[in-house]
Amino acid sequence: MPLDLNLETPDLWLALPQFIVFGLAIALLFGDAFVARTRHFVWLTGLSLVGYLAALVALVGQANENATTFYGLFRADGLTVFLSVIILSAAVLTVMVSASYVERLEGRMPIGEFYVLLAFSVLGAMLVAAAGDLVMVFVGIELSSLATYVLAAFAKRRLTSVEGALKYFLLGIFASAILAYGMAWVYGVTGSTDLDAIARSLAASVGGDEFLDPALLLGLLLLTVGLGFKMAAVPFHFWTPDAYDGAPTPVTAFMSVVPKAAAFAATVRIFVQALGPLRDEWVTLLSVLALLTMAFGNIVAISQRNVKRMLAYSSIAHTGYMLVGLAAYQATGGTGFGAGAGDGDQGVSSLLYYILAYNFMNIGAFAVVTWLQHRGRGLTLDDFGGLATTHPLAAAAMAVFMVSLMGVPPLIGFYAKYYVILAAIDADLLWLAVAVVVLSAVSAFYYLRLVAVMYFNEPEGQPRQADTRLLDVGIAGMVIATIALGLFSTPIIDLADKWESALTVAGQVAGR
Amino acid sequence: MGELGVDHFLFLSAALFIIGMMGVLTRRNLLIIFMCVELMTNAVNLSLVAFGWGLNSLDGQAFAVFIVAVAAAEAAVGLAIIMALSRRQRTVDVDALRSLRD
Amino acid sequence: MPVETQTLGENWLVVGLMLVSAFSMGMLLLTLNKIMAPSKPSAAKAAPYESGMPDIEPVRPSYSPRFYVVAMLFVIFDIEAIFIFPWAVIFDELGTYGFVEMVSFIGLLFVGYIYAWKKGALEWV
Repeated sequence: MPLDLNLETPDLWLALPQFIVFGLAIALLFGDAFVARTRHFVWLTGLSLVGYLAALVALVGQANENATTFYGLFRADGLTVFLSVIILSAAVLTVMVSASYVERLEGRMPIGEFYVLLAFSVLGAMLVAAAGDLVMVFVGIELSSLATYVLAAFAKRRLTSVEGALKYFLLGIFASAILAYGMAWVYGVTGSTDLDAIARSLAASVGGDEFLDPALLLGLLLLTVGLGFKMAAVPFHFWTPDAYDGAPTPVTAFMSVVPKAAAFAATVRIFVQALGPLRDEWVTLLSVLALLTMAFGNIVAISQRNVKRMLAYSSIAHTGYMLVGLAAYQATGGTGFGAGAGDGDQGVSSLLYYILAYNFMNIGAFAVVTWLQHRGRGLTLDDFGGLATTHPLAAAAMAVFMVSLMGVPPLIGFYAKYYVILAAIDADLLWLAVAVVVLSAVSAFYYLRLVAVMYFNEPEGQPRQADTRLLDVGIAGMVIATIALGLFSTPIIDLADKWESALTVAGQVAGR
Repeated sequence: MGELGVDHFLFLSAALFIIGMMGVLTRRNLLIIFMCVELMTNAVNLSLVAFGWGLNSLDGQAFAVFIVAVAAAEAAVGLAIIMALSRRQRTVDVDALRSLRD
Repeated sequence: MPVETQTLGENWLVVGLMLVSAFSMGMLLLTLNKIMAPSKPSAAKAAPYESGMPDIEPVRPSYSPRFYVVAMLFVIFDIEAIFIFPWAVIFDELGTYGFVEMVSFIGLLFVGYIYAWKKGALEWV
């Protein structure tokens, strides 16, 4: 077999933010092994924060790129940058939320290992966002997931943590196998693992009145199931409540955002970039999934008394809203929300904006739960009773996050839903838009119930004092982001519109 | 279909994949479920290599190599979690996983 | 003998049928096994084989976790060799760049090794 060896040195600078996170992970490994245990808390927390912030700064260098390197495996484009911003800010927030929890609660867990795993999980998610090839998507998802499985089991002295992690792990690898099988079939039909090459091959073969290749449909179905598990869409959500409930709370905050962002990044990369010509097929699949996910998540969340489980079901519901955005995808070269026509497609832009919004409000909600755990409160609804009297600021922060998750203007959650609904209407999916509105109204029940419990019930027991400075700063930052990013949503959605520069190469070659 | 073709390998891999999937859905022992997932993963590898052979391209084999490496990492992480569980609770039966409930 | 892409393309239509038959094949084998295999479990049969002796202590003695740790490390480091194998096959054609890549790959494995060592995973106490 003739080998086409093309061994130019890859453009390493293009992948600078990813390399910084990788370097951070290695530095944390050495720090964990060689720095004295007593200094881990300060040094490694500082190192993590500096590393992620440096990577965020380095992302500026990728901002207007649209290039591939590492022989097509790595792409730097609008989608990469936008998703990396979300993932890195989630990482910074997770460090702020988790530092004191890992160090003090649940019997002093090894904080060095925690940060190392966090860094690898973040790196995996960033690699999915920057993937230009099925192999890269798969390896990135796995790197991210494997680290997250261990993080979920991190409180290994508590049975529920290990049990939740085990369920997460078993269903996660099951999903990975299905996902890989779907990738194998797509590769078999199109003859390539490169996303752009797949799009080109499909654009040439799909179209007209001919029947679709059944093998392609099989691949599409397997990919949908695999990614559905990863993003926790109904009916592939079984692991979610248990894994979220069992994991240490800061890990739950992380798990509910970064692996989900990675799953959606993979979905956009594979479905939009590579399988764009099959749009009609997968849009139908995703809109059905979206409706089921929204309805199930919101309705089951009502009956939850445990706040972590309630937020787990709420995160399932939010997966549904995000899927609506993706189901509203029309075609590349469509019109975005911004002034510049020919920017991104509204569907994907609204999805990106939604993940950004969800990042701040969801990590925020779990951060307040963590904050209360430091003060000796439990996880049930009753433990939140009278919070407004004992800790007015925490109660106010939680109220902001709940109301934002519900989607009340002018908070960020409202704009996220607003853009998703606009995109759905634009794509003639009126029924999905109506479902989003109706189910948001349903969600008001359980979000507002928590707010009511905090403000109208009597406090129980004596609160414990705790010093959680980093966490306090993090919560304050997220409250500000939840309010401010809603008020200034226009520049962000414009930024999100730029994602499509990802696909221009494939689009031009395919003649679309 | 006199001689050995790609289809034969695809058929074999599909059968292996489904046997693995049935195992995951019906078995109760954690380690056996885990092995069934490994079977599914290896079915994927087989079909990737078969596709690569049929398409006369090496991409499939390269992909399979990465999947093997990922599966090894999964095995290490999975066994560690199963070990942590069996230390807390002297069993590897799925039905014993009931401390988390709605 | 590589199959031509053309024939491969025509065969795709068969694939849907193939999956159905693969499913029924898998199920058939499993069901046949269920039906044909005699199944008369008894306490004596379920007991582990102990050279004919009745077992006197719990069957699964608890091994030291050291065994598992070493086994896990072995699996990881062993499997990484599959990346070296294809590299070695075309070593000549890869030139300096390929060499540098492999050195950095092995360097990363070495970092993992140092970590495991420093963390005491390799100590046999």
